[in-house]
Amino acid sequence: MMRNVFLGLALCATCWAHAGEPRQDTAAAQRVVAAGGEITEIVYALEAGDRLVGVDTTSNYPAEAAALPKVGYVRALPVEGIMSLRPDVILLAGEAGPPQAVSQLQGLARVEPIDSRWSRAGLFARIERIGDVLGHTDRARSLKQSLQQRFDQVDQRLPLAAPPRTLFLLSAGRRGTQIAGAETQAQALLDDLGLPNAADGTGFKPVSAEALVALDPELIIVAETVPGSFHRQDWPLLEQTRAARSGRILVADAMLLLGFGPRMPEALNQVLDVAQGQGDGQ
Amino acid sequence: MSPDPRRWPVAPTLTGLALLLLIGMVLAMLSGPMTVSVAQLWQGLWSSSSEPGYLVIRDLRLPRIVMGALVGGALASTGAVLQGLFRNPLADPGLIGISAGAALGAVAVIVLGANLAAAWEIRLPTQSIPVAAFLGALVTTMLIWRVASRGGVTQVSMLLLAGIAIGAIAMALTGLLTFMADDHQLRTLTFWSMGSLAHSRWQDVALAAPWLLSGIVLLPLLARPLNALILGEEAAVHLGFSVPWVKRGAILLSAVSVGAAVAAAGQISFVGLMAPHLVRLLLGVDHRWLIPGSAAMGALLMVFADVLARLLVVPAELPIGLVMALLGGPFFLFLLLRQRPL
Repeated sequence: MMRNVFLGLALCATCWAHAGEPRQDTAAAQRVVAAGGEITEIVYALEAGDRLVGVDTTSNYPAEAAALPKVGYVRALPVEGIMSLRPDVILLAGEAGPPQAVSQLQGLARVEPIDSRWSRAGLFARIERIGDVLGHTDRARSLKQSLQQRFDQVDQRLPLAAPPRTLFLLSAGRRGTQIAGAETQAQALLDDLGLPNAADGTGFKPVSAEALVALDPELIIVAETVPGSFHRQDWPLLEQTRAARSGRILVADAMLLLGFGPRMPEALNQVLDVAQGQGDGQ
Repeated sequence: MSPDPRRWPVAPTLTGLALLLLIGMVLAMLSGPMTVSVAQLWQGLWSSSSEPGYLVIRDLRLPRIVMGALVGGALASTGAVLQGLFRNPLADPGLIGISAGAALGAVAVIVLGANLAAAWEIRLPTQSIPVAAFLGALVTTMLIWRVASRGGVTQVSMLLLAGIAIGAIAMALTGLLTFMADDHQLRTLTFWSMGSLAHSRWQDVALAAPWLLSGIVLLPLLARPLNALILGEEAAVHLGFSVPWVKRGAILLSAVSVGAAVAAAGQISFVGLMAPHLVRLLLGVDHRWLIPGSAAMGALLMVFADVLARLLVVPAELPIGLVMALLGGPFFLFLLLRQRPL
């Protein structure tokens, strides 16, 4: 719902900004390969999705992206496979790799490394750069403006009176659930909202059900890398946490929560809704 | 070693294999996600133009095909020699722990390398992963050798058992490191442990080729003593061969070439087992033809598997180790079933 409203908003804003704009697309990249789900989302948000000729497997939003040729996982890019799509430009996320493939691609085509900071500033820098590459500087500007408004609305809800101690889980199926510690996108999301991380340690670590209870978080966020992969009934001990008793469990798509793409305000709002005890968090 | 009626004539078969390998490599050069015509291929090989099409031929396909052929050749010759040494058609570099040692070396650098380098305030050299894999293979082999040697005599059966035990330990340590690895490292090491030629550049070929070639060229020198060993160690000694030196030579050369192969392309199973077996069906068990024949067959299988790896999921790419195992397993079973009981 939120998603549609926001997209509509972004579309209106860009249409309006576009009305009197002279065409400047001629020199801009026409065939684009995007490696990084947030990059794909930005290209679509700039209404240039039709120029994408290939995306990586983390590009699962919007739904149209699913129909594009997939060049594999962002950390394991195939050089010749990408070149066979005859791209004018290859947009690479920070985690794109392996390094040999990136250096080979640089020798073969125009490669644009895209800012990969997990923050609002990073998101704006990404939009600006991709806008420039695609020749849509004006659309990028209006997208940033509408996002800024949405961030302002988020900020009106902050700071929280009593920020709940939050546990962030990354779920990739029944046996692949991990706790997010420091130095992760999850931590960056929590930092943005001033939520303390209930887990210590760095990186993603495998979760034990008992640890969940011991940490006794007041808010649990589950990011699913595969939609529908997290089942609450698989975690009976979860019900013993304060988060479960107060109904503060959010299950959402990992790319939405951790992508730091144009849906970031939506992600922040969803977390805040559950943190403040509104909505059922599904 | 009675003459086998099914056996093919040696010289034409070996020439045929070599020709087939050459044709296979040319076809491999022509196939891939990007369409390349024969004329373009010819021009691409000789022109120094930096047009993407030519660069793909010269800097992507050619080095990986050369690397694939060398790795396949080295693994298959090693397989043939080890099977002769252990007098066991199932021996392969994976079985006696060499690959596991190489894998441990590489995984250790992937998982621990960055932290250690930070602690010592040095930068990791770009080729540290392959070099570590190579050293891992040599160290494991030395350990196995020490365990199997008592009073200056090295028992072949002990060599095999020690290899299995030390291989298992190396695999457990690799598992431990895998458990400690973060997402990024995990991705690097899974792709690496499934085997891939995708990122072979000319500098990687230059680094690995001397070691791989030393295996391919020097292992056939062991053919005569290995033929004698078929009759047993005693007989080989009476025929005038220095059995301890044959063992040392076979193990050292195997460690060097398998270490280099794993370092260059990750773990690729089945070539070392399948290629010598196929050649034995064609040429019989005489190691003079078996070892070079296996090298050509191994190279051919590898180049073929690599083409499939590149084409099956275009524009993405499969790890070649997976392709090899997926094709190799059933094919090998088919051959075994078709044969009369061994």
